[in-house]
Amino acid sequence: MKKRRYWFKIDNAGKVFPAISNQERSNVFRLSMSFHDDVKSDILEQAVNLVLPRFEVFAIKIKTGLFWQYFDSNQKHFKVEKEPAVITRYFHPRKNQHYLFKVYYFNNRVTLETFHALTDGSGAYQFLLSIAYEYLTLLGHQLDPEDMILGRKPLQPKESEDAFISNYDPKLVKKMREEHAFHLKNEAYKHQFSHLFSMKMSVIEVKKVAKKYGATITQYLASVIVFAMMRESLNFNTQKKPLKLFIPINLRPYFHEVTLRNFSMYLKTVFYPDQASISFEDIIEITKTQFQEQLTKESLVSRLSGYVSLEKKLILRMMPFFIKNIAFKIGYDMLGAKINTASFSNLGQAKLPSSMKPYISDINFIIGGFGLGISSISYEDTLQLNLATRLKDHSIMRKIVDTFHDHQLTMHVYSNYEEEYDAIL
Amino acid sequence: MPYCKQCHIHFETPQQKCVLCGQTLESDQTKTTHYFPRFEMPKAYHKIFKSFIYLNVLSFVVLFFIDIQNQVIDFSLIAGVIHLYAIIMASFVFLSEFWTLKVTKIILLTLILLLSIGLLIRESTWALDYVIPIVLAVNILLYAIVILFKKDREDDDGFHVLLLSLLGLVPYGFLLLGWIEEPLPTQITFIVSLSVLLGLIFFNLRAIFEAIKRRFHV
Repeated sequence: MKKRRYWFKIDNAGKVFPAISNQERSNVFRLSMSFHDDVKSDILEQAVNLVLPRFEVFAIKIKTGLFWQYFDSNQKHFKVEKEPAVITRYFHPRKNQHYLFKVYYFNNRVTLETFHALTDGSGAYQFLLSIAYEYLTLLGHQLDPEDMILGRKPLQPKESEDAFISNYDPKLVKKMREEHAFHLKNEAYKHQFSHLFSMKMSVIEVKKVAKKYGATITQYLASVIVFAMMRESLNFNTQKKPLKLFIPINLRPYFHEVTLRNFSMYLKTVFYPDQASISFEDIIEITKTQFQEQLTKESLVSRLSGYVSLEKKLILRMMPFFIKNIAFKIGYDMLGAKINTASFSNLGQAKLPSSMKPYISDINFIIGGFGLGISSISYEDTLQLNLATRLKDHSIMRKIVDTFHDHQLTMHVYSNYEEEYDAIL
Repeated sequence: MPYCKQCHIHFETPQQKCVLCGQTLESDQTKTTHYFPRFEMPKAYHKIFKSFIYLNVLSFVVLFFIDIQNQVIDFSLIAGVIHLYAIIMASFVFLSEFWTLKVTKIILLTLILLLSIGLLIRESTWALDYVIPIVLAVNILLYAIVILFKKDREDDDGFHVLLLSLLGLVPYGFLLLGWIEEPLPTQITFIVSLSVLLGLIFFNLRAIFEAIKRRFHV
């Protein structure tokens, strides 16, 4: 039974995002679905407003209490908008009926851009899938949810659970110390423009190449990215900081959780300047070992508990929010922003009911990032690897393309950059 | 589909030049589509606001130098407070969304302005006697009317009314301390505050408890 009024605490991962997000660091990620026909905006808006009350995690606004911010129920009518040119752009909830997500339409595509304080990629995908299902149903298509559409299932209280807290084990707390990472530097585009370069490849072909190296698709792609960054980054081998690629891991399968809120954690691949000239084969072997070491339940619980233990500290809890807010900003600028070189998020194979497949032509997932935000998703036999950056340097993109060619992978690409932008960005 | 001979890639978007190497692309007759809307320069609203702040600061600086030359820091202080008021007021008008919040902020800000001027000219009794009680009473009534007619905002605004009603009792303390010469506005504010406070306790206690739980969770 859906409650009229509800509220919940912001989860561990989401607590810091409202304080540190701004025009430069939006912390917004994007999921989109393309249909075969152009999107009817009025039907789409109807679909969103039909689905929204079922998704308590999304039907919220952020409010500030004396000690913490929290999510409060939001019953306002949601308005869909035409997609802007800038992807994963920062938006102020006040100008969005206080919601922390946007639904855009452009030609045949519906896009959900979500503020990371709300949920992660897996949670947002469930929401977008339900919107698309409802949209197609409203258009008159006969669909079968096949037990895959959350919007057609009764609401479970576990969906709104803070799974970080429920899986916290004070006995396994690991001290969180991160050394500073090497940073990609270059001139940035103006007006918060983020350049997107997307590569479309065959899932079967990529899997075949990954298998040749004894790796998973995620490990293989992560290795290609690291290889390109090590080869193309200026001065990497002449400085001391390691190159660190952060890879968010969906924790739900490890802890049997169904929460729609944030429940992912980074694992990282770390390479030091003295490894700058190692071969691709060595990189993939190191990546595989680092994955194995970090992807054990014990390691995940101790890291998760490490994060949660910070917010459990009495001194932090009793600190008024406005002081915490300043501390989060300073702390993030001094530590958080410096601990990784880039992030790579693989959402895996997009699953949807077979009755929906004839209407969906494409599914994509994009993360922003000041340095380089890399993301991938597979739908049917198409894997899309997206590189989004605010930096004007394209050498890493080019090296990634060259590496794929060396591995005999063919691809089609697309970009949101046009020649005329040279003059204004 | 545009093709880059150097990078060996096909573009699905209608590019003229390769985004990676800048080479002019070869194109066949295959249809391409724009995947993204075209970028347009954003409107420069922030520049207008920045100019407004700049003019206010400039005006203060000029007045301050005139005061220094006259060897009396007087006019620039009052002008400074008014300029600050103008800047904050402009941000409220442009940024606040709910009209109740907007009106409350405007009234409270105006109250602070009047008090500041009162303190600067060393004549603040009128502020204590009239401005504070009347502004508080108006605000309490305004919010009370909102929660009476807009049920969906009763939890949020109920909490604001609670705080304002408690604040509304304070001037009566000033009266008891003998700081106030004209008692009528303070007495009216006290009655309004107490009535609204009791009304909240009788009719909205659950919502107030909920609001306190939400806002004070640790």
